[in-house]
Amino acid sequence: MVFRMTGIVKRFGGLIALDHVDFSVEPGEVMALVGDNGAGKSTLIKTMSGAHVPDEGMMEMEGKQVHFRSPQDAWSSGIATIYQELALAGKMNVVDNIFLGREIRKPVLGIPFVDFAAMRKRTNELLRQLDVHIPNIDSWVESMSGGQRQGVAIARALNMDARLIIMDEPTAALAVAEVKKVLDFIKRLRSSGKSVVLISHNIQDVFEVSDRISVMRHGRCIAVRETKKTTPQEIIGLITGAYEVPAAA
Amino acid sequence: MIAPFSRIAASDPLRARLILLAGLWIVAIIAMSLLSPYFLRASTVPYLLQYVPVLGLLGLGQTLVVLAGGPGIDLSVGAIVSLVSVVVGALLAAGLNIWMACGAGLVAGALFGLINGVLVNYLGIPSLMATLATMFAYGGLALATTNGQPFSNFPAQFAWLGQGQTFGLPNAFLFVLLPIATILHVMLTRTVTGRHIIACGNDDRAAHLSGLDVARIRTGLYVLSGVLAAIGAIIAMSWFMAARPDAGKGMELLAVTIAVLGGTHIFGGTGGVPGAIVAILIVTTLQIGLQLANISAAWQLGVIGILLIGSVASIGGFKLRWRTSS
Amino acid sequence: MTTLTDPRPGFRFVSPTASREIALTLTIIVVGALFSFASPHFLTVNNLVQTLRAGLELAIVSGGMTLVIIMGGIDVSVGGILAVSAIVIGKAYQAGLPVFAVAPIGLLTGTILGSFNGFLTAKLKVPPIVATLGSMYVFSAIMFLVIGGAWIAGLPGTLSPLVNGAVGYVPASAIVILAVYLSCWIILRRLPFGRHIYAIGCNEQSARLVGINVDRTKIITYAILGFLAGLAALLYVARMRNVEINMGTSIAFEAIAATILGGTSIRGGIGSLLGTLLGVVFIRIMQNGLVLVGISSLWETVIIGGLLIVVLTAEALANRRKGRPS
Repeated sequence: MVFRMTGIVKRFGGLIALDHVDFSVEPGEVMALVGDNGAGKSTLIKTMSGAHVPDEGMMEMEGKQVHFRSPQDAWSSGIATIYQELALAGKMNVVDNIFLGREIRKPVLGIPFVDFAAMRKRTNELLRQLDVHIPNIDSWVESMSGGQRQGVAIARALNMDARLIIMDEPTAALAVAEVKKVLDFIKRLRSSGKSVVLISHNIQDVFEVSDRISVMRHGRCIAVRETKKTTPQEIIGLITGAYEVPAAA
Repeated sequence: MIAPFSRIAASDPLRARLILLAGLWIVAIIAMSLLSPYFLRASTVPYLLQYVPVLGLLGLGQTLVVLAGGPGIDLSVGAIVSLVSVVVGALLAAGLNIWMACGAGLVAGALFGLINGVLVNYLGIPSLMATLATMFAYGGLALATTNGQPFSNFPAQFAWLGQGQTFGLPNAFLFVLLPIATILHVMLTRTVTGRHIIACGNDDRAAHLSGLDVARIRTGLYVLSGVLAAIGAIIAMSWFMAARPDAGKGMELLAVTIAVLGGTHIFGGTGGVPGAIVAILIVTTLQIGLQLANISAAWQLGVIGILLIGSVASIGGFKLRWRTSS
Repeated sequence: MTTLTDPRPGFRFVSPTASREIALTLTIIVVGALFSFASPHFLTVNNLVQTLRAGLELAIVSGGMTLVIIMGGIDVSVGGILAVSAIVIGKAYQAGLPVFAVAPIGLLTGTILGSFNGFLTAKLKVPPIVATLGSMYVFSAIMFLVIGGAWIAGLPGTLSPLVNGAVGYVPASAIVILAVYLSCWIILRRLPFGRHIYAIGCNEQSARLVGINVDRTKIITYAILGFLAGLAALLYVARMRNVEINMGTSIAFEAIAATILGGTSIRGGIGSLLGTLLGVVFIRIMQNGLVLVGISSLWETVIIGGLLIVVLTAEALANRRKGRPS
């Protein structure tokens, strides 16, 4: 078990976004998180990534209890998040974005200078690994295509050497060829021993890469199924409430 | 006592702000009357109200500009006051009669406001910078064209506006600020235009998609701000019986203070006239009271600064406590 | 490796602010040429060095202002920080403290006041314009309270060699300015902290999500500006040997103008220290040249305002053409 949350509650004013959610991820597995709009998926991963602080409940990372008070805490604990909005700085270039918040330093007389050369080298490595084609890594990110920007966001997470990578709707705005690249990348992450939490509306993608599927509905995690042992129909039924489930499986 | 207040704050933050401000004003009055025996006399009220109109008009104009969002702000109002004073003074010196000169001043104010509006809404320059630039330009023009010399040859009856009293209340307050404030308040809360203004401040994309001409509404408010500044300039001239080219110096900051203190959110969408009025009263009460008690201008400035920060911080703090506790 | 800011696709080594820097340099050369034709006194070493010395405070403060604006903030209270720091320095000198004690005290005062602004913005979530407006009032209040209307005169000029001296043919003021700008440049372009400043200016939410400690970065950046204001105060006292209440009133707006003229965007995320320095040079040359030529220096503000409008309009139109939201 690389990550587990137990009894997590998150409220916004009178709205209960997460209602005693239990959720866990095994090492080296791809866990898909599905559910209708407003079911709580984004809130769940934002709680995992430190962007939200839960009101109740407990989170564990590799057996040890963790409290994330900010995204920095989550990053340091080994959770890398690729948000749907990508969280890129538009007027900065590829190198800067990949290393935002974790710049490679070169101390001179105790002052930590930025090591541009090392960062550029690593950027090229990462982009090559991901098979992302960016003609000029000094260009501003806001001038790039959706696929390239996604590539930069993924490279940033990859650079983290994280144990758990969260991807929120990574294929939503991509062309077919780019979608395949992302899915292949997820499979590669799994074979290198990392875990992935994947939020997706695309049931096809979910069935192609995931090992288990967690279904959320109205702020609760109502079911967890092994992908091999379920069908798209069952999952869709759970999402929409056609199958009523008394408790989480 | 806190519980019902926070319930009101939850449902109607504007009303809560108003109650808070009214309370502050009462505190200010009590504090001032403790500080000086001269404060709580019948003659103080008209004295106080005489200061109110000029700043009041500027504050109202600023409230509307900020309300419509963008974010909107007009840092040039003080400079518009100065430049309009110069225009009126120059026209008078050229022999024009007082009515036409003032009329021209109003037109000038509208024109200066229009320039602001176009820069911000049609060219897309951020309002802070655009009005900072026009503040330099207008203020500089006022000083440069007159070489810093005031014009003081005003006809005697002109003093009626700024210095006269009717039923014991200053004329400028009774016949200018009160009607204008009332009209603006009614417009804002009851007319379609008012609803549109608030919509622009709340979510301009939604407003635009609903068919509102956001740019035109906002530009109109900058024009209004310019006209109100011009009226303020006329009142100030009537009061001092002189057209000073630095008449508006420093007023822009007070205008923004009044708007923000009065509950208008700096990004627009929330706010209103009553809050601004009470804010003006608080600021003026403090100024007068501290003056009467012979306490230096320093304290007034300091208190205003703290009030300003406190009024915005408390909104932030309220929301913060909200989100983490519930 | 590029020296100033990030290149756009297609231009490998040209920074987005390069065009502005070039335009400013050309303007300065043209204006300088005009002035030197119009007045024999302009292009003399004596005059230029004097202008340099007079512009020392503005140059130093503008460097810090550039950092703050790139981060997406603004600080209109710098004049107040400068004034309070100067008063503290004056009082320290009067108390007989030696320079080694007074200098750190002055710098510390500026840093603390700057951090206060940062704290208001970052922790209390007060919008920077409101926060620094309020703190400006508070600082002015402190200033008045401490020295009333009087001056502190007859202060030692121990540090005046830093202003008035020279190393060989190079005036000390130039060295100080270069040292300040070089330090700011290193912070902005060579330290991770600088990357964070750009990121926050670009998109604060993204910066937070990526794990950057936004609050701490903001407080430190405002503190840097405060520190530089303290430094400017030290040098001001060394040069003028006294402290008076009117100092520093317009320096904030001038610093903002220089920064924006130099190519920094008021929205944040893009900026140029070189551009700011050029902006300061331009402002000071305008002031100096106009006086020498016999035109009232009052026209300087008009010209700056007009130029700002031109510059902002050009930027807005360029953004429009590239299809970027303005």
